[in-house]
Amino acid sequence: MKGRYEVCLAGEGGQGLALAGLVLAEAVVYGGKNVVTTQSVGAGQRGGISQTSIIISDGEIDYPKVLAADLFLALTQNAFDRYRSDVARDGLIIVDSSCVEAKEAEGLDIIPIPLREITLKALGEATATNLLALGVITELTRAVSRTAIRDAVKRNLPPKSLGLNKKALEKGFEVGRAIRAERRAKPV
Amino acid sequence: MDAIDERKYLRLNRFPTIWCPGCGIGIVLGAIIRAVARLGLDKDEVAMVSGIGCSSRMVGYVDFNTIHATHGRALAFATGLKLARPEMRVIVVMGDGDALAIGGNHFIQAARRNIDLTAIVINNSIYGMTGGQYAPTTPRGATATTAPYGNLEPPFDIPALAASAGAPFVARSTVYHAIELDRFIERGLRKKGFSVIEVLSDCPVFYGALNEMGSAVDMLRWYRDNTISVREAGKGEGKLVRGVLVDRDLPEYTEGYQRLVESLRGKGEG
Amino acid sequence: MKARVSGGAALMQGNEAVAAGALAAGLGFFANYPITPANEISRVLSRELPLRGGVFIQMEDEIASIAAVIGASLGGLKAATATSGPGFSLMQENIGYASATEIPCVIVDVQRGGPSTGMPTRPSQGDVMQARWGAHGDHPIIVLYPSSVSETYELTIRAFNLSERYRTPVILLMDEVVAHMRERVMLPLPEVEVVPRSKPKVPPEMYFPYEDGDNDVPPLASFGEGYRYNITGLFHDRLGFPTLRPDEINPWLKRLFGKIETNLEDIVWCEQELIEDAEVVLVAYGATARSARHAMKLARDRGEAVGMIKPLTLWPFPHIESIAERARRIIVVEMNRGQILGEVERLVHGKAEVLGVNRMDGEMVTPLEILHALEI
Repeated sequence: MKGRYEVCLAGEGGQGLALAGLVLAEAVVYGGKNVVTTQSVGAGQRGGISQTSIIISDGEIDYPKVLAADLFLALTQNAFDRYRSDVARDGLIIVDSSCVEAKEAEGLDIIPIPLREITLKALGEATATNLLALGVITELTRAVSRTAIRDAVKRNLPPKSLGLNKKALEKGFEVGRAIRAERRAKPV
Repeated sequence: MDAIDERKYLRLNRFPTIWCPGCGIGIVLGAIIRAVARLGLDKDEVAMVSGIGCSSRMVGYVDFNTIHATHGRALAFATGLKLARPEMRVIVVMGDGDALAIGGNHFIQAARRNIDLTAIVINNSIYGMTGGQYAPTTPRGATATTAPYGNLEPPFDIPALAASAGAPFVARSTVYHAIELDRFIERGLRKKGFSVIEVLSDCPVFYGALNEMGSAVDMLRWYRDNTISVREAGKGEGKLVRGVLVDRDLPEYTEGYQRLVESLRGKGEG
Repeated sequence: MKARVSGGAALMQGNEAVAAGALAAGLGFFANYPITPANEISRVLSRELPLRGGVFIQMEDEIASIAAVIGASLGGLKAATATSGPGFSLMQENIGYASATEIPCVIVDVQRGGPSTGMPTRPSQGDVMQARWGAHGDHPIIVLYPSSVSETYELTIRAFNLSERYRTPVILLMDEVVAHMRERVMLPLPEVEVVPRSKPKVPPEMYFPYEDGDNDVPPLASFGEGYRYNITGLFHDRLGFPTLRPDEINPWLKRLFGKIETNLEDIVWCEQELIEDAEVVLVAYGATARSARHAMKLARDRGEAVGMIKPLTLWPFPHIESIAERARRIIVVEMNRGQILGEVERLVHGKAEVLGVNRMDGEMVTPLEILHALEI
């Protein structure tokens, strides 16, 4: 479908990807585009593969799930192995290299970033890895503005952890910007 | 006291009842009517809800707002009605199998929740309507059509069950002790909360016949001779205790819910 | 409702839309028992109903939930419950009771993979026939099925309206995809007409809760308002008392089914798209209709004459047989083994080829799978 952009966030239950997906989707709504987000989870509240898809479009969205992801974020090895085949040929893959070993597969554009380690180092704990990842994605996809994401974070995160999450998000923007600059510099 | 004209509360055009000659359920019907009359309740503010079985047919004969619900579910129907109409007096009439086998969970949950319903369990120790099968109230060793070699299971002690589940008012009487029964039902109706009145009632056609207990009159005599008032408990070994066995004040659910709604008033529509 | 507002657009979840729709329709009583994937509905309503003076109660099981709903409805409140397959199975006896006693109520079934415990977090459309025939005995029922968040809102209100207008239980059937999907909706949500319960205008002594005759849907008096009458699940006469007389039963049955069957125009809602020139017509509902529409657009881009039919009223099933006179092939897309496929075959009666695209492994049917079926 024309103008359709598909994001697939996958990891383990409890890593907060559903929340990250919700924030991203809400930011898209602020930006005036159409969006549908769905989740695929196991039975437990924790553990097991958890996947969130966010479909962004200028027009109507019929099929609400990922057909071929334009952007795929994998926070665990299981999630990477399960969903890597659902990525579009020219899709972008971000893996948390702290946890995922992504062998260079032919034709796949994989950006390994030690998301968990960066979060741990910057904030002293890793719970906000989801928000850091969201910051990175925002910069690399530019499907939504930083302002819209900041707004959506403010609306959806509990006040108690808002400060920490905002910091993680800003750090994510910074990491994402650096990667973008680096990729521009690289000969294609 | 003025004489009570029971006919005022009955749907006389629905008579005669479906109950067998000698059945005790009619005595319970009379006791309920007298209790309602003594309290001076308006027929419009009284609802009677029942499940399935002989005793549950009672709702057809009383001139109240009546629901003949599904088997075992009378208390759950009544819970919804009571919450929608907290001002109504809701009487729930159940048989022993209805209340304690298929409806056993609803029974203990209603007691735990302590919702203002008056539950009357008419216990004839057997499934009458379906032909005399053993129930969770059939004494061990008694004969039923599905216990031809004697019942292997022990019966529920209904008042003990109701009390331990949290009911604030629990009483037991029999159809022989009709005057006592009137009073217990009246007290149950007065009680704000889940009140349980177990009424031992004769089924001469199945329980009586299968266990060679004689006629309906013989069965009533059995209740006279084999039960004892709680005031004299200890004097009659092996006898079933009658009386108001629990009467305590506990927070009632519909009042609690209304207080919650009051406390939220003005907090806006989130 | 915690609306996520921005300039008229907001993100809303399907289950949240059920709660919003129910409140907009005038919900006064909600009883339920926890079950995945329907839980968000009770989460919202347990917060919102007490604020509005309504009643929320969590019952001991699904049987008690639907029983309490029927009791509350007789008390005069618009009442509903929500569940998933296993709980829906438990409710069937009392759904039949509500159908036979003509007591308005709404039952939401957010389907999961089944049978048995099945796949609690995965989508399925396996309860389509249960929604129609789950209760024993012939009985009328209305089943609505949304495919988007805004449709969910609208159909929830419609479910209450039809339930009140026709004095019948209405089932809002959903799949996990739409129930858990968050989608952009425009706020304020559209104004939808709300149907109040019709109350008797005659004095109590002239009131027949099951009146026969021209008036197909007699008004329903609330308990406690001076109309003392009887409700029973036994076959009953005009007054609501048990009867075994064929001369009383037959007029009642005629009216019971007639009130639905003579009002199909009001009850049945079915959307058609691009079927005028279609050689192949897709039939799909709920989340699967979204796959079908996606596939239809791709096929049209390739120049193929494909159209689709989306029933929003699943039961009574729309009379779609006329499409068979034009279309060569009809493809029914479902997340089950072909429950509507059989209904379509029955209606089409051999006048067109009817095929199914089916999945029951907890995954949606993809547009690609439908395109593949077009190529056969």
